[in-house]
Amino acid sequence: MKRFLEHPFFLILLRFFLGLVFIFASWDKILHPAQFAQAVYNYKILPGPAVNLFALILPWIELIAGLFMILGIYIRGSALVIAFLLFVFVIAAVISVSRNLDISCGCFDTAGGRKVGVKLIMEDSALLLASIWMLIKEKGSRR
Amino acid sequence: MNTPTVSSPLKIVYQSLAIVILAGLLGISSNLIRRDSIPFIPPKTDFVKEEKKSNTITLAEAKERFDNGTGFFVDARSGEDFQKGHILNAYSLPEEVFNERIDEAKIAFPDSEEFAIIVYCGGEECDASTKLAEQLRQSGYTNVMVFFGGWDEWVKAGYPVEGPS
Repeated sequence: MKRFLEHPFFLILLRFFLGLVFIFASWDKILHPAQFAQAVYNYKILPGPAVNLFALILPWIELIAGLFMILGIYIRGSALVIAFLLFVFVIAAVISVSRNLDISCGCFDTAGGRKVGVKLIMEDSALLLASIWMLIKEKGSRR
Repeated sequence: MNTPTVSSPLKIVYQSLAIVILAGLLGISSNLIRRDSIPFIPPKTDFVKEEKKSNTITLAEAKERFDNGTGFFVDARSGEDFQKGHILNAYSLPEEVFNERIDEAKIAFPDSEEFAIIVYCGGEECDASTKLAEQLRQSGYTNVMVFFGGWDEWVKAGYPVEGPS
């Protein structure tokens, strides 16, 4: 199992998977900043004045980290960014669930869609583990 | 000479900072040039507060309209929550399936000046009702109100409900 998980081909697959997930996640948010800002606001974690800036920049971080991941630029830097984002997402989801908030997660689709819940926390945690694994096992830039 | 290309932890941090800075520049500059841009720092009145000013009703008002039949209650929560219990005679229109269900809904409760469409969800902490109200307005309803207290307040007050309990 360990040999499989450390196999270069598996790492490439993982890289492309994580990269694609983040590119997809960024797209709708970049297209609809106002809706995404509303989704961020609904979490009621960030102070009001900070919501819009966060909502404007976060999707671009996702896009660039995802693109770099796939193109093989700054792989470990991208993996660190992605791991950090997922860590933040997990914390935000845990807080929302513990507060019993009934809100859309704003993950892939800014127009409603998925709700924040335990399933989301588990998925994000799995992605978080994958990105940490990349961070440890990747040897550096491909270029 | 094949030196291993293991990057130092510090280098990784620099890389990630570069990504964040690049993203920041792109995010801010794209917002400056696009037509549907949003203010960098939002004005004090937020979505919910604006909603609160105009078209919301309190528990007492909701009950009054319930009693004299001038309100049509629409439940914005999931079908599952609706099954577990809802305001008596409420109509289930989960916010996330709005587009698929709006045609049925228009037949079930046409827009009317006499009847207010009263939208509710779980309680103060949910956003489904405001979203649904907005969607209803966009699809032509003029008389839509949000009952913020929602299911929680209604149940606490001991008002009529239906569904297994």
